[in-house]
Formats: sequence, structure tokens, C-alpha cells
Amino acid sequence: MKPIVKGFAEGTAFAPDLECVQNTLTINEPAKSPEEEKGKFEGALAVVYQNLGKMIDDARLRSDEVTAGILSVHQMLLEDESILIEVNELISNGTSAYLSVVEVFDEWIQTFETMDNEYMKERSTDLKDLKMSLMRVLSGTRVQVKDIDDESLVLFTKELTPSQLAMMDIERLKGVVTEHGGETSHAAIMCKSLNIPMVVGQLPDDVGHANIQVLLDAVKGEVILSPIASEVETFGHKRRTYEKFQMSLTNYSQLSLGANTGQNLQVNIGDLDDLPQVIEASTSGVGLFRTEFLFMKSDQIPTEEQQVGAYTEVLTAFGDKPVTLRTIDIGGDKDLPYLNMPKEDNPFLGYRAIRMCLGTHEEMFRTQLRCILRSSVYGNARIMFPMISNLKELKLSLGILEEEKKKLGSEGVPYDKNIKVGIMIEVPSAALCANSLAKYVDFFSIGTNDLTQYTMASDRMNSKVAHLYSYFEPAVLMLVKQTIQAGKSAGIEVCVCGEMASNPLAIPLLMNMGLGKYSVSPSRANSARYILSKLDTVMKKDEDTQLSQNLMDLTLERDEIIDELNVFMQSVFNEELEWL
Amino acid sequence: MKSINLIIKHKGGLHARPAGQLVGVSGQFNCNVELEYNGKTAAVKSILKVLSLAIPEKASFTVNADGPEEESAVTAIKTFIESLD
Repeated sequence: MKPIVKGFAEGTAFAPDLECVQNTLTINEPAKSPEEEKGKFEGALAVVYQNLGKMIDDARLRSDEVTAGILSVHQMLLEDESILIEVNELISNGTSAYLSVVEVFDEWIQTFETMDNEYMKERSTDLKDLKMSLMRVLSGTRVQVKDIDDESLVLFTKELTPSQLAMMDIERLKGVVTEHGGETSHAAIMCKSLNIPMVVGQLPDDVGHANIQVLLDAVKGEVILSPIASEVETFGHKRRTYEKFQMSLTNYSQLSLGANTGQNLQVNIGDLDDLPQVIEASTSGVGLFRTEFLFMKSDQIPTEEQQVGAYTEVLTAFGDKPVTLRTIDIGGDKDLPYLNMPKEDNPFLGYRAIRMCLGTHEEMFRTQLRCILRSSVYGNARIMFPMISNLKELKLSLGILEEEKKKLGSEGVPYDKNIKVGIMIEVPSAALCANSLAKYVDFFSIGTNDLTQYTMASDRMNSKVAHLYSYFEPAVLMLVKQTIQAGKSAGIEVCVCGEMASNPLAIPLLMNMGLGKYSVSPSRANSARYILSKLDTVMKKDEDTQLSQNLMDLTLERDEIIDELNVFMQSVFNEELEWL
Repeated sequence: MKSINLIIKHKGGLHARPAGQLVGVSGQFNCNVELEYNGKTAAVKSILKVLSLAIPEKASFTVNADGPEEESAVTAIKTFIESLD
């Protein structure tokens, strides 16, 4: 069984075979008049639509934009014209609403299931889910979870759908086992956001029987049915150890790394909704604030007041901790329809981020800088330019910033005159010329995701070449090392704000290179903090637990590098490594 | 009737979200809009029909608009599809 959401769960097996929810009474019931059946159909549509609306609101309340998005697509499909026409036609010919729905949906499900396109195949799941919902309403059946009294349930099902999940008592659902669904499936995404352990694999045969107890180890990927006493004991021990560890990680959030360890942990944020969770992680500030979220949320360019409002909200939330606002990074795979950018053959090597800001969209760039400056009086703001490719671009950007500062000055509008300015190092040319760039900025932030892509010339979304994409490639590591050294020589701060900063295997290497600042996604903050603090102690004390000279010199190949880091981290963290 | 050929550059082709938006864009105009791809046609009014065309990325398809506001419809759709990068 493949672990999809890590954790442990115990409970009674619940295996509703929703294919059989077809209430036999309803199937055999003769159809009433077409007018009545149409009325039933319309009523059912309204009920399901409304329920979806409620689920969407619930999801939004717990900041689960992901489930909300999925369910919104369901609402959209429910309004589809073809379905309405086709079902009504069958009803006019004397078929019951229930059977008409079944027939029409089955045909569409068939169409989508037989498509070659993976994405389209997934839409058949949405349709099956909607079909079930409509069938349930039309036949007056409710899901039988209420028949089971048990406080803890472990769900076994072929495929977990949003409406299935929504009809369950989430508090009683302790674990999920499905036959279908990878890491990016709707089910996985929902369970991740609800913190419900989940595995994928062949469903065991006996789960359909009543009162089967289940032990679910979703760290290793194991399901034990009707466990014997010794199995319960071993499981209990594993579970307690794991949960104690997770607890200790949260306790770590109270510790600050800083003067003692020389490391500094910050977070990357993209949306104001992230704030409560982030502030709880209480790190040393925001290493990357993706300002483009504000532009992407809107149908048009946000007004000055909207921007100032948003930036001020974040700055005040963090008090005197630094917040690094990256100027708009749009283009490539992040598009803004209302900007009407001409389509490009090669968007990743194209007119994006600072390039368009220094060109056709200079006004937008100037306005954003002005807004950041205006809000800078409310906290500790820093400005960061993305995708700088050479010194000329940097000088131009700095020039524009100076002009906007002067304008505000002459208008008598206050701003932080000492506001720090830095750049993303993500284009290889910037890493290679880091020494000359360092003279003009207060800090560097290494964007390892893009840097890896450009350096290895491979698209990580392209399955044929994704194997080349790895920040453990010596070439990428050399550029990172070079950038850190350039920063040190110039006496400026260097931060890594890509995925690499929270990767347990990468952290020891980065520490060894002298990296001082790590900016990670909020959900990774506790793990990262734990790793940094423990490694710091270990690497200072013990001469034996060091990285090999070859590794530090980067004369090894990627796989050798990863292997050695794995062995090293195993020796320091043992079984905890699996959980980090 | 007004027809034009367009290319979907977006990874994943014309999938649910853009298909839904396309329905919205064409719905503003007084005319019938159809998409044609690989020998099949689909009325834009039905998301399912549009999705079932399974127009993949880099594919070329035809937009046929028929009615009083066909010119505006075609222009709006062209702008929308080209912005999907």
C-alpha cells in the first residue's frame, strides 16, 4: 500500500459500496407523469446544487480552497446544458427522472472514461459523484454512516469523492484506504488538508463484513485487519512514538534559532489567508511574499488602495519582523488574462517578471513600488526583484525605485527611507555574476526551483526530462555555493527560498556551504527548524559526523551525493528521518 | 457566419476551468457558437460537449459563430484563448 498522507489510524472498517446504493424500490417504481418527473429532476438538481454550495462555504471557512475549487467544478457541471436537455428528453418519453439521470450520466461517464487524456478521465469521477448525489436525492436514500455507532471509522472505498467525504462525519473518520488516487488526486488533496491518514492500494477482501477492526499505518503503508493483541501493542508503540515526535516538532516552534545557531528560519507566503497559520509558526519573518497573488485573485489590476491595504495587513501582522515583498512575478506558467500578454513560444525563457516590468508594464511596476513604499511605514518591509539576468536590469530597476521614492518625497508621503533591496538569484547568469551584483544590493535570495530548471535545461513537468531536474546535481550545487560565497565576500545576507530549503537531505549541505537563511512553506517550518537546530549541535561537536571532502568539494555525481546525504542524515536522525 | 482557427497553448489543453470561462465569454453575445476539432463539433453552451472534444495543448481548432453579434463573439473568444498561457 502506498502512503499518501502520513499518520496512524485505528477504527472500525467502513466500506460502503456506493455502486449498490441503488435503492431497488426506486428502480422498479413506475414513472409518474412527465411533468411530475421533470419537477422531481429540477428539485433534485436544486438540492444537490445547494448542498455543494454549503460544502463550498464550509471548505472556505476552514481555508480549504482546494476542496472549494473541486466542488465549484461540480456545480459548473451540474448546470451543463447537454445534461439538462438529454434528461428532459428521456423524461418526456416516459422514463422516470431517476432512470433518466442514470442513463444520461452513464453515457457521459463512458465517453470521458474512454478518453486518452488523463485529465479528462478524472472528469468521469466528478460525473460519477454527481450521478450518485442526484440518485440519492431522487431515491430519498441517505448514506448509512449513521447506522454505525463507532466513534472511529476507517473508510475503504474504490475512489473517494468530495461528496462522499462531505456526507461523512469528519470527526469520526480516522483513516482512508482507496484503490485509486495518486498524490495529486482529489482524495489525496482533501485528506491532506483535513489531516486524515490515507493509503492507496488493493482493498482487502474482508472489509465488507460487520465490525472489522482496522490498524492503519500510513507511514509505512500497511493495513492490519482484525489484529491480534501483539499487533495492537506494536502498533500502539509505533503510533505513540510518531505522535510524540510530531508534538515535539510543534513545541519547537517556540524556540527561536538565532544568535546561538547562526541560522535564521523564515516562511514563504502567497495569500493573505495563509496568515493565521504562518504567524503561529512564529518564525523570523517572511523570506518571500509572492505579491502576484493579489493580482491573480482579481479580474483587473488591483488599485493602489487595494495593494497598500494588502501589503499593510501583512506588514502589521509581522510587527518588526522583516517581510520580503517580491515584485510581481508573472509570465511563464503564471498568467494574468487581463494583462493581455501576447502568447509566446517559450514562456519560461520569455517576457516575464522583471523583464516586462522594465518594458511594456513599467507603469504597473512603478505603481507597485510606490504601494510597497507607502506601506513600508507600517512594518519592516524589504523589496526583492525577481528574475534579474544581469547588472543592467538591476541598475534599471534600482533607478526606477529611486525615482518613485523621490516622487513620494516631493508629495510629502512618508516611506521607509532605509528600505532594504535585494534580488532573486534564479537565472544562472545572475549566480555566475553574483560577485558584481552583490555590490548593489542588501541581500540575495536563491530561487532553487527556477535555478535548477534553467541550469539543467529541463522542464520538471515534462516526464521525459524530469529526471534531469534535481538541485542535487553538482552543477546546481556549485551555483548555489558560488552565490553564498559571493554574498559572504560582499557582506550581504543570502537566503534560499525554494523547496531545497526544507529538504532534509539538502539542509546539511547548505549549512556546510555557510547558508544563514532558510525560507520555507509554513507547513514545513517546524520540521525545518528541528533539523536546523539538531544539525547545528551535531555538526559543531562531533568531528566524526561530518560530510566527506568529496561531497563538500562537489566532485561526486548526483546519486552519490544523495546517497551520502541519506547515510549522514540517517545517522543523525535515525527513524525520525522518515517523518521529517 | 464567422469562423476562425485558434491554437490552445495552455498545458492540459482546453480543460474544465477554461472551458467554463469560455462558456461565460461566449454567453455574452447574441449568437450560436460552436467549436470544431478533429471532425467533431460542440456547441459552446455545453461544458461537457466542449470537454469531450478533448482539445489538447498545441492543437488547432475552429470557432464558428453564427448570429447578430458573431464578429464581437469571435474577437472576444480569440482574445480569451490567446490569453490562456
